[in-house]
Amino acid sequence: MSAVLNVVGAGVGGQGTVMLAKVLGGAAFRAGRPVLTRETIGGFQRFGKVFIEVRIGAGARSNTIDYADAHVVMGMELLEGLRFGLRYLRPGGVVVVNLRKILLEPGNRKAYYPSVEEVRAQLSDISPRVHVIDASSLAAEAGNPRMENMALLGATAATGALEIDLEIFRAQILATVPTGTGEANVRAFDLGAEAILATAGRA
Amino acid sequence: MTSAIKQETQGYATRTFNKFATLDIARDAPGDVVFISGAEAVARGAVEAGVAVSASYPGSPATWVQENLVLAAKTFPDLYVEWSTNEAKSFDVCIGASLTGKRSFAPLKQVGVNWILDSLTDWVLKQVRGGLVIMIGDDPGGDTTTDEQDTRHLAQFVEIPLFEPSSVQEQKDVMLHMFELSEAARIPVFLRLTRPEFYGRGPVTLGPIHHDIRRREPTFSGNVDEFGMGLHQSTPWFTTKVAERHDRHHRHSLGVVRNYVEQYPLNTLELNGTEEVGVIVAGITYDYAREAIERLGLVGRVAILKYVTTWPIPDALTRRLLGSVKKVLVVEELDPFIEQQVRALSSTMAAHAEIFGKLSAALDLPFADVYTPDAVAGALAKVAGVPHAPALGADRKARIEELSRKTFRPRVGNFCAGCPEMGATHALKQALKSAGLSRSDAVFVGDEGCLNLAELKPWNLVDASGCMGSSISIGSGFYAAGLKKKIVCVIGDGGFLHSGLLGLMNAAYNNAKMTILIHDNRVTAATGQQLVPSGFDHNVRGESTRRLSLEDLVRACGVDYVDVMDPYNSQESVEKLAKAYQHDGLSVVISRRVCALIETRHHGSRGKMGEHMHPFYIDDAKCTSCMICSRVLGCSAIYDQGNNVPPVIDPIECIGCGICVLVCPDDAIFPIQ
Repeated sequence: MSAVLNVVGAGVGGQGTVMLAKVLGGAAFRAGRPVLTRETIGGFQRFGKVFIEVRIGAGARSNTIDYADAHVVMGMELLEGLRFGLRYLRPGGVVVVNLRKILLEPGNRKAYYPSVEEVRAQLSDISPRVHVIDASSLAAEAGNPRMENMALLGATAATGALEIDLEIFRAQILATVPTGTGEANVRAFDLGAEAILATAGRA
Repeated sequence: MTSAIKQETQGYATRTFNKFATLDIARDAPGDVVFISGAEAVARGAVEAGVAVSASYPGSPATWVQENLVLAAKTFPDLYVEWSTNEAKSFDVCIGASLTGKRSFAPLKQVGVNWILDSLTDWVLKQVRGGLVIMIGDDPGGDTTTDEQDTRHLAQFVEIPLFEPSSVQEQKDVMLHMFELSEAARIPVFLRLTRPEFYGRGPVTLGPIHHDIRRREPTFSGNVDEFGMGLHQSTPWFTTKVAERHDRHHRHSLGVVRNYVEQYPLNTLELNGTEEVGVIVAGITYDYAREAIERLGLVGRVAILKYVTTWPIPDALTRRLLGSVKKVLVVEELDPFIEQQVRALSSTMAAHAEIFGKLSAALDLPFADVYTPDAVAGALAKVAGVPHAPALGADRKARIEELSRKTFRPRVGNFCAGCPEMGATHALKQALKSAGLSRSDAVFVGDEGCLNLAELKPWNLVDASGCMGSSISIGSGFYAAGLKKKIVCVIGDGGFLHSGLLGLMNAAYNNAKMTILIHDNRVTAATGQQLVPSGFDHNVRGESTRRLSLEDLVRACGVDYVDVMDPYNSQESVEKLAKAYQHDGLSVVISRRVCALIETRHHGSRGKMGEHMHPFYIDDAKCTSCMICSRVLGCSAIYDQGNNVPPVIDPIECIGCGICVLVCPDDAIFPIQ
């Protein structure tokens, strides 16, 4: 285990990115590891920027991660995955990006939005370990497309890059998500994990 | 169809607090280690310190602290919590409680603190009884606020102590210390944290909850000499009682504070005597500096002076550092608040270290935005004379800049799908045409909250916006200046009750001619749907209250033209607004529809929404790709796929409000069955 493992996650307001920080931070705490997290959220309720930082290990002094210093980047949304991956990914780090697109300006047809191929190419330039998964569909399969956060977490955990046992994540999900949604969220987590394990070695 | 969403919101106050709060807030188990956020730690610290009254007004990060105390009050019914009508009222409620000997707490957002100044300066001189702590939630970077003020200056201005703790643990622990100091010095005390601290999580060891302090019997003898203006008291050697009290403040209260600060164990100096360089840090910059020192390989070679009390700063510790090393770097975000104090102190020393900071031109440290460990490492490397390569190389920087030009407009937010304010904004724009006005014939004044999203495309319906509650009075100013345009002021129910009401009284009294739209979505929506007096028939403590009628209130302010519209009913809204625009005088239209997120949050996840509504879809066979639903209405759930292609509705986002159905000229939008 490294002295510190830096994980960033980026999404769009309303996607459940903060929950990602709660579950990942909580799981590290549950595993007995030193952990600090930080959440940056926008001034409105939906569709603003949401950015989370999770630092696991005794080497973390502050809860703030520097550019080009994240071992793991989780993109809840395609464009945000690219935006924060470009800034934060460490050479050789792991990126897991959700295929979902949320347009910057739904009513503005001139707004540019990158293609999956462009996102993959840009990030692969920094590190070969790029995974693009359809977390929203996996979450829908688990019962609710809103649980895309847990599907993405499952996929990221299955890469092994988070250095935390999958069983600890499952326990932490049950302890964190709203009452009554625990099982479905764990299902979404597991489907995300399977998606990575099924393609292991190909990414 | 438009009433697909039920207006039933009974029991909203007893909703779950999963988003904001943790049950650990009330856990009576000293020694337990929990993993909580800074906001939760502050609230927990207040609970442990025996706070009996906590009054706040919504706004990040005050919301997150107060929501935790609201949750704690469910376990401890003798803890009184309220959402006040504005921050000044929160503070006055705290003063009243303090005068009875109870401990009171006012967690406020940074600009919210500006509202309490009048009362605060008054009570600093009159003195308080029970401990009173004011929390300042500063926001370097301005992510959730309208400015980037460094509120620390207020401590020096009103002359009360200021605490800036570092770790999440310290954020909890200082609360008890601050209440004790407040009672010893008999003045309010400031706690100041910044966003990364409120929204950062870490391990915290719980302490005991002082139930005995919270349950103190309130007493008040009504001593006018002490708590009134002191008019009939003689003051032989002072011009007035005010001057005498000010003198007492300096001699007594600040004397207590200075002694406390000198001995306060959380102000620490890590010095081995061999260092040539030192840093002075507080709050989050302590963490940044430690990280920077390790990264530069300077462990043991840089002394660290960490303040928790940043006004006043500890004298002896500072002198020791300045007398031991050759160079000192002061690390702080925003203004050189600490640096100026350190420089002032150094001017009383015969010899001292060279001081570096924002006032050192050679370092070129920014006065704006947040710091990072890497930025601190860069500054420290310059001072220490060691090499440092920035984290992001030039090639990657260039790539980010290139992509930023075409893609990376920041995500600032958007109206939620089904937002009644989106419906009203659309109607405000369409009504111009109906009233025979072009866009340039009108000026739109925004306020605070979600309504300012009307700045974005496709609406472009904000020309100027100011602070909470200011829109109506700024509009009055346009009228006073004789601007030959239709003046339209837009304000939320929260902003209106916060202070906009006074603007309306002022506008009516001075015969301002303009149209005012009040978005009545029953809550302070942008901050996470906190309660307002006109929202429901209960308060945050779950008590029944009489729901305030905005119509009555508007009429009582002296307005004759009052109309109410349903923003989900586009046609009717456009007609009503056009009529209001044409009224030669002061017209007020109340747009009434509960915040779309209340439905989704109150009823849990959107997965459960099926029983209330159906999302809509666009029938490609009927759609003529006119793009009115996506490019004119601008709903976040409707995706434009390009010219001549029917847009699609995202069934995850759509809540079935039905505004698009009424806007569609082809009748091509239907509910998914």
